[in-house]
This record gives sequence, structure tokens and C-alpha cells, in this order.
Amino acid sequence: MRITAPGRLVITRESVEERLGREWETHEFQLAIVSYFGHIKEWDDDEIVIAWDH
Amino acid sequence: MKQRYEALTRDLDWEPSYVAKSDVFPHTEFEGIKIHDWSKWEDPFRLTVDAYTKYQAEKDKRLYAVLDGFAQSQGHLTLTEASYLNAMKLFLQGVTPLEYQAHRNFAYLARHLNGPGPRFAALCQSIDEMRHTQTEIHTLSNYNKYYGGFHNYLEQHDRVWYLSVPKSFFDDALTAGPFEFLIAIGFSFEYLLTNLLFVPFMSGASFNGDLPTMTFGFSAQSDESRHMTLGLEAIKFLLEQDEANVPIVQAWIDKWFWRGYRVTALVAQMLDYMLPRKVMSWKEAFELYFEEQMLGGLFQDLAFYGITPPKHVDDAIAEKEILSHQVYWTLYQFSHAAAFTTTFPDADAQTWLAENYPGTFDKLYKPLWDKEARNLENGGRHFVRGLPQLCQVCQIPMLFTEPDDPTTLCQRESVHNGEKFQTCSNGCQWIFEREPEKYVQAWLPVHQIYQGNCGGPTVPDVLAWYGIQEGDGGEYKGSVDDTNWKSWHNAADHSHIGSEA
Repeated sequence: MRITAPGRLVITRESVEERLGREWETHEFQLAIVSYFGHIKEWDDDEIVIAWDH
Repeated sequence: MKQRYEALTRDLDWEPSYVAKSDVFPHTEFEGIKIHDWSKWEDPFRLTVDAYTKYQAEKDKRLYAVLDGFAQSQGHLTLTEASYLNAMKLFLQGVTPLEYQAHRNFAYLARHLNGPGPRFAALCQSIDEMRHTQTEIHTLSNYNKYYGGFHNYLEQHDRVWYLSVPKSFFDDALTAGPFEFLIAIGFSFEYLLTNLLFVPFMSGASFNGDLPTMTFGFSAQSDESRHMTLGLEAIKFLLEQDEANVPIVQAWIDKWFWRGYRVTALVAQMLDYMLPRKVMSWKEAFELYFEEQMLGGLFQDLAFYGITPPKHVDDAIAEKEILSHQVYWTLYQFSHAAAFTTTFPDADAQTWLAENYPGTFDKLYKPLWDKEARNLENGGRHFVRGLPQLCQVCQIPMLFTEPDDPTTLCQRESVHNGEKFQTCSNGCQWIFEREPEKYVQAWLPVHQIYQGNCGGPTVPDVLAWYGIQEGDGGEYKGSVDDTNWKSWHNAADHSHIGSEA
């Protein structure tokens, strides 16, 4: 499965937990990602933001 | 997460009080890079040792469960064909040893960079690269029980002609300073070219029934997102620290794009010729992973700092429809001296090639294979008996053509201290002439054979020195792997399979 978004892509803990029906740490994203392209701008407890700076 | 990261990573750093800082970190000034504030290094992952080990352990557990299941169920028999494993032989011989070298150099950066943020990121990557080395070896060791070409990859990496391509590439990076290494490997290799290098191997595994390699690939690629981030943060950090860094970094991008791109020539032929079940063409992979993602995305962002796309990128784009054909045509004729086999692309494969390369295959390369078909009919499978001239920089045989003419071989000559040196392209010549003192020292396998340093003067002498045995190389059809594969699949009695397990 390949996901693309123009300019900015945000993965929030809340929305993943809602779909999984269990608690989810953003670090767990590492177990699911096969390859990526872009710039990981933010990675904290609540969200992962992939977006270019300029 | 932010506070934990600060407390467990950056706050563990201290200012030296009785030695000068330049004595603690003596290697970060000689390259001319100016750093004013190391604390400005961003690490978006905010990884701490406990989180790192927890998730890495989970990744390993998942992988080893798959490896066990595959081995116990004789999974190797469900591959598309034994010839698929040629791609994996190339991977184990050519790429796995690079992971180990990456481990070494990131360990060096984890000691020698001044800031605690980049030191910790480099430490994690160093451990990752060791994990990749080990898990790749474990993943492919199962095949070593049943197939040729896997048994002597480490020594071969140091000795065999086509493996000097990836080896010399990485040695070039290892012998650079810490910042150049960061741009060479952290940025150019891990960010610019990683999807082009690794995803084709792993997709090839997925399409050809190689569940262990696919799972290994997912496991390693999940670390790759951190490595890509380190590479991108490194370049942004250097560019933001001082304007004087911009031209230095640009020259490194120009050099390392072309160095890395030339290594991907081996991936190009693998995608188009070695996979029994094709995934995508090299042209398609190049357009997606390089032209669209890097030129269309990354370099638009870096333009803000005054960084332009790599020099010679147009030459790379211009050869996307000819590269794989030229490389495989050469490997096909030299595989008697390789630890993988090659074979004639059959009618289905040629149809696929013609469909994916409508502008070039039928016109330029099909005639070559037609000629070889006539050789085969007459019982004369063609192997070249001489040795090719190698490019002084990328060490690939001089098989590439002029950027605007796919029928004329490209040969560039430079003179240094009265001696002539040959390179395969504008890119390699530019790299040579920028640092001739470095490249005149290249260990070129063909020169070494002629100088008597590779076991002796005859092909059998050299193959013995390479540790290449019967069944490792040559023509696939009728090879040991092919014969075994057929007997395993045709025999009514399968009881002999897996008797070693």
C-alpha cells in the first residue's frame, strides 16, 4: 500500500488508536513503515508530521 | 517524549573542562566545514535507548519467526525458480559487506561528532547497520545449504572484479572526512538512492516467493526511515550553519550522486534481467524513486539553500532506457568468472523488455540477443575470454556509451603525472580529475590480475583465488542449481529434500 499527500502528511495517535481499537505509541509506526519519501518534520507522542520545510 | 529525549540523550553530554574541545573532537575542522552551534541539530525521532531497543527487538523477533518457518517448511522450493537467487547472491556478495562498513563508520561518527544529538543518531544507525549485516547473513544462509554462489561472499567482496564496484564505492566514503561521509552515505546513499537500491531487491523477493528476504527487507527498511532522516538533517544542518558550507556540500552531492548512481547499474540489470517474475522496469523505478521523488520533491526543498540538482544528473536520465541492457549484456558474457549465473532472456522476457523499453530494446539490444540465439543453436554459448578495461573511478568495465549516442562507447582519458587514466563517463572523469591523488591508488581487479596478484595468470587460477567453485557461476541452464531444482521438482520421491536439515 502506498500513501501520498501533496506537501504535508500527518499521522495522529488518536486516529490510529481509534482504528486499531487499542493503545498505540507513535514509535510503533517504525514497525509498519517499509519505505518513505519526504521529510519527517515532527515525531512526538501524539503525531508524526511529514512535510517539507520550504 | 521531548523531555525524555532531552534528559536521556542531550543532557548526558558535558563540556570538557581540563582538555580542549578540539582535542576531544579533532576531526571536524579539516574539511573546511564551519559549525557554530551543534545544539541546532534536530532529531525528529527523539529516540532514547530504551525505546530503540524495545522496537528493534520486536523487529528481530518477527523476522526470525519467518526465517524458522520458511526453513522448516522447505520454503526454498516455492521460489519462482532457482535462477531468482542470482539477485540474492549479488545482494549478499555486494551489499551485505557494505552494511558492515556502514556500521564501522557510523560508530566512528558516534564518537567523533561534536554534538550529542548527531552522535546518538549515528550510534543508533551504527547498531542498525550491524543488525542488517547479521540479519541479511542469517536470512540468506538458509539458501546456502542448497544453492551455489553464497558460500564465500566476504572474501569475494574483497577480491572479485564486479564486487570491486560496491566495495570501492564504500571505501571511497570510508576514507573521506566525517562530514563528507555524512553526505556520501547518510545523504546521497541513504536518502537520494536508497529506495532505488533496496526497494527493487525487496520487491523482487516479494514477487518471487522469497518470504525471508522480503521480511528482512521490511525490517531493515523500517530503520531506513531513520537513516534517511539522519541524512536529510545532516545536509540541512550543514547548510544552515554557515553559507561557506554550501559550495563544499554541493560538490559532495555532485560527486556522491554519480558514485552511488553508478553502483545502481548492478540493480538495473537485476530488475530487468535476473528476476523470473518481473516487478517493474529499471526505467520505471528510476522515474518514480529518482526523478519524481528526488528531483521533483527533495531538490525543490533544497533550492532554498542554493543547492542545485547533482552535476551529470542529465547523463543519468539520458541512459535510463539503455543502462540495464548494456550492463546485463556484459555480465552475461563474463559470468563464467562470477559467483552468479546468467542466461539468455527467453521469448517472454524479451517481449517484456520490448514493451517496457519501446524506444531501445528492439532497435539496439534484440539484434545482439538474436546473434547470441544463433550462437546457442550452434552450441556456442558466448563467454568473453579476455579481460575488460575498467573505469578508474567506478571500476565498472568500460561498457557505457556516449550520452547522445547509444552505439558509440564512451571513453574519457585523463593524464596525471604523465600517466594515462581511463574513465567511463563525464561523471567519473570529473570525479577523477577533482581528486586524482585518491583515484590513482584504485585497486583495479583487472590490473591486479595482470600484475600477478590474484592467484595466477589463467582463468582457473584466478577463479580458485576468488573461491569460486563449480556451480557458482557460468550459464544457468544446465548448471548445478538448475539441475537440482529440476530434480527436486520432478522427482516422485521427495524424501531426499532437506535431508541436511
